[in-house]
Amino acid sequence: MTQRTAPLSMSQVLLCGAAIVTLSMGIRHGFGLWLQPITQTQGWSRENFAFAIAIQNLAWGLAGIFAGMVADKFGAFKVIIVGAVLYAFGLAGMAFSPTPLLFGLSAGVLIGIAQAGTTYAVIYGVIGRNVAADRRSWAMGIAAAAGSFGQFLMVPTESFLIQNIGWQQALVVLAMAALLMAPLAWGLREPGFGAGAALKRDQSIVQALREAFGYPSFQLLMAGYFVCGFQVVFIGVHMPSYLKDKGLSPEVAGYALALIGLANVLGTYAAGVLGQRLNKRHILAFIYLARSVAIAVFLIAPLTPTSVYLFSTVMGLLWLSTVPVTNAAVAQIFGVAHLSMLSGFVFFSHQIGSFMGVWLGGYLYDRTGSYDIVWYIAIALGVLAALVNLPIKESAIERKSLAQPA
Amino acid sequence: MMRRTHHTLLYAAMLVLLLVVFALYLQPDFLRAMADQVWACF
Repeated sequence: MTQRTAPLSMSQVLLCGAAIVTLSMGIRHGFGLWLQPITQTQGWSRENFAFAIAIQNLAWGLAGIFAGMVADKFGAFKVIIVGAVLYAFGLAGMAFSPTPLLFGLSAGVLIGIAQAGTTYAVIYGVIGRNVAADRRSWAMGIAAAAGSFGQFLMVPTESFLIQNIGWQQALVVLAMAALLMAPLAWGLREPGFGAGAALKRDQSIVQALREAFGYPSFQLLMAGYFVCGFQVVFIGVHMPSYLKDKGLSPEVAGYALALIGLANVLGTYAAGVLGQRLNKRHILAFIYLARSVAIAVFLIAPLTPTSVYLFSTVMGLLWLSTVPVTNAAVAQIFGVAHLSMLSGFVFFSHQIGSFMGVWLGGYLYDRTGSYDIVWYIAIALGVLAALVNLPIKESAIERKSLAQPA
Repeated sequence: MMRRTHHTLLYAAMLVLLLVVFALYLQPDFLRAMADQVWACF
């Protein structure tokens, strides 16, 4: 990095970054609440709605790579502003789309791209470039905890809006809330990206990609993150259905999701703090192994509301705690010049895992009439992810002719 | 002075927002309605 001047203040980066992630992640967590009102009013099938959300997740993962590349080169704040505008258009499109195709384009493609521009990978690039290495994992923990807090904050807010002003008006209000991310992005305007100029870096995009994909530890981090996506999204999407099958009441599922959201805030922050003090590979191995143990105990123990709440609290603590640690490891190994792009690739792997978790959950349930096999797969994958994280070399990569990573 | 006032107002607004959301979680009727909305997704 050759054009660096004084970095942004850490409090400014954290305040603006956390607020953006809270809004962006918070809004998306409540999308399921619109399934019934939209499908009933428009006369569409659940498949139409589910397909748009599936497209959204894939678009988020895929666009994340390119959003990261653009953010690293031209500045995160520009990407966030475009993301905020697309988010608002996407939400308005959700409210007023007359056909499933337009709904898929707005709720799926537009919002997916918008999320790529307003969530972790892009924000982490700013944190990486402006927060010293000895506080980076902690700072990433703050931003990830903000995303977790968004779930706890926005889901009841969205439910309140739907119940009181109707689903279409609720989406319009959310579209306006999404636009708030644009002025917040101004607080992430980094020196070195001024006047529309690209930041001059020591490595080109191709060189950075060749280096990362040729480095086994990067592949292992991606493999672990795939499992994270698989487990988290399978549980988030299919657990209420599992509880329904077992005869538990809707309130149990509601409280379970709220507990996951609340515990998630604590767990994610704690993981960021620990990432500053302990080996990141050990933290990641512990998280994946602990998830497998928690799932196994949950399946073996008698199913009661208490066991569901305990499981939700433990899983909540482990929910997004992989996010700050994984991204801090990427920054530690490769430096911060291409951090958003590399985080985007790692996140893409996460989204493939998410897609597999949702799809396989539904597919195997339809085939076998139970979730047992998918739970077993989630346990096995957790053990595998713990093992693949152990040999990761998290020290800065050695470059012969280039400066060492920050 | 103006800046400090702005910051105080901003933090106060955020605190009120948080308290309102926490209050929503404490209303059994609201939570039941939200649980029904979540339930309806599956």
